[in-house]
Amino acid sequence: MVLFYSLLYEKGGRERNEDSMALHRMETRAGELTMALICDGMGGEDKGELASGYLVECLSVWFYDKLPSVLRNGFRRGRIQRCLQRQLFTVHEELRRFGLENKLRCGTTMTMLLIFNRQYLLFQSGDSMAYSLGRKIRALTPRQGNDRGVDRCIGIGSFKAPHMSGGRVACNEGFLIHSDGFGDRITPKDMLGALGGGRIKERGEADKALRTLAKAGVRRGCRDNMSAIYLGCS
Amino acid sequence: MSIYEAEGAVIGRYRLIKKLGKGGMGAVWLAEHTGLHTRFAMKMAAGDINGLSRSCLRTEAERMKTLNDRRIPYLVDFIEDDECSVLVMEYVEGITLEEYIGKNAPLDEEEALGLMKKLCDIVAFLHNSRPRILYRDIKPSNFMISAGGELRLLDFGTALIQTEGMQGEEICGTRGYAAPEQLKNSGVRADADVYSLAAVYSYMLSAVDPSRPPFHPVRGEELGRMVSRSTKKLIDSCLSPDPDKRPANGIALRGRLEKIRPGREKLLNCMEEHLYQLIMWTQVMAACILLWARHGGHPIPEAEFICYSISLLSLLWGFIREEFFTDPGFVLQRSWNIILSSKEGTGLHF
Repeated sequence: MVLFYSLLYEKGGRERNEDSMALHRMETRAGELTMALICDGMGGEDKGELASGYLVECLSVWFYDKLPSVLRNGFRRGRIQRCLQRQLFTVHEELRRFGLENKLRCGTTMTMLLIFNRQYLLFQSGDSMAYSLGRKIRALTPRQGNDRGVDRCIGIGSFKAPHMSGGRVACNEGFLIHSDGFGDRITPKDMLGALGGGRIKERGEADKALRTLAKAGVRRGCRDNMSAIYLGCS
Repeated sequence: MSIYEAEGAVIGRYRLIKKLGKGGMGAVWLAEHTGLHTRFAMKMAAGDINGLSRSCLRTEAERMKTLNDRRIPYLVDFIEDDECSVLVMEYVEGITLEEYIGKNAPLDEEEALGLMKKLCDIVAFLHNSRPRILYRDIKPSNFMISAGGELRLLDFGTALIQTEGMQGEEICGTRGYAAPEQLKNSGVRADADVYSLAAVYSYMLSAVDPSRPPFHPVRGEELGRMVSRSTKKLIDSCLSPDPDKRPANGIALRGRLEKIRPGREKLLNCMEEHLYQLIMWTQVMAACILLWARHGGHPIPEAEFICYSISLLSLLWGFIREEFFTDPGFVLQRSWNIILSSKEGTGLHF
């Protein structure tokens, strides 16, 4: 069960924050469901915040409108994955058409964490990352960027299904999902030092730790937007 | 007349003091009459004299001129020149209903009902006026709770006089609060305001803001057992996508609200929840004990057996029906609902 959350939403050295993020929770008859989502509006692409904001909006509607009917039959990974892929494909096509009509390149990455009772599912398209923090730090998402840029992106190019992983939530485990700007100059070791080891027990402490990490990133020369969500579980 | 949207600038006989906010049509300023030293609110719209925002402000002034009620701020002046139009009206000091709900929601049903009756009275006044006025953008941020605790309705920019064949008017309203037919522009009637009022009621009781994703108000089934059945039923009928199923206007809704007795129904709900279960299981236990005590392993007389079986089976059927055949709603409560984005508005547009 998710006990508390902490959010970091900094524009860094940029004019505006092109990332968008969402955090939703609902209590259902089958248990408690939480969704944490970060979309990075693809630095360098035009109207990045438009694409990331629109995806966050659509997935928030999806969370409340479509997901409950899927969960009525239990937390089945395959069903959730198919339902999400349909939604992502729709948004991808809408963004692509909007880009073509307005001569823009409208793209965004996405990392979504779904926690249902003691199970979690993670979906990733692009280079935003997710970590599990306990005594050790464990990357839940593979690095997807390559020399030519991000290879999975919603709204640009052909649609590729997001990478999916899942597992069980351990006692006192924490989850951190962040945009690539946050992870640019901050290493997993720094994240473990600030948030790991089971030392974060409440929201205030997590807020402080995230701010400290962001400041460290800026000191080390990060100029990108920095967005992160930390979820503390029981 | 020269317009300077800056503190201290003088427009006509009014000096700008501070910016109160920015709406769809323009900024709203707190201003002071230079001679009387009385404070007023000033709504400004700049641009082309025949542009949308300036013509809307002109219409708003026309509407306010005809409305004479203490719950609606009175029109003081309307100034217009080549550069901008300015509407001067009564300044209402207090907090918006949105701020109040944001701080206190979910409200107790009695309190929410009290507030709803007041909101409904204002809307009923508009619907009752001749010609009938449709407000078309009912949401908590358009209501103000004055320092004396009185509710006031602000911003008549979207208000419309109801006429025959109103289809084709511009789409207005706030996503989540506006009725489905309003967003599709398929003809708006007074029941569209009823839908918006029910969305505000649902927000008060659930703390889920309809203007945030998934952009629809919480329906009766999600409101939990602390809300009376008649309130849930009323909210469901008002939020029906079919306008004919809603109360026809604010006056009809006010009548329906008057019939709700939250305290009494809460007690009945509680009884239904706990007492019913208690009685049912006590009966089952009593029947078993009685059977054992009377016959202690000997065969039970046929008539008695049938009586006991029927009563036990009917109880069991009630339980099975409640548990398996009624759909009480899968989602019980929504919380957090946080979205952070630099994108303005909703949807895919510049």
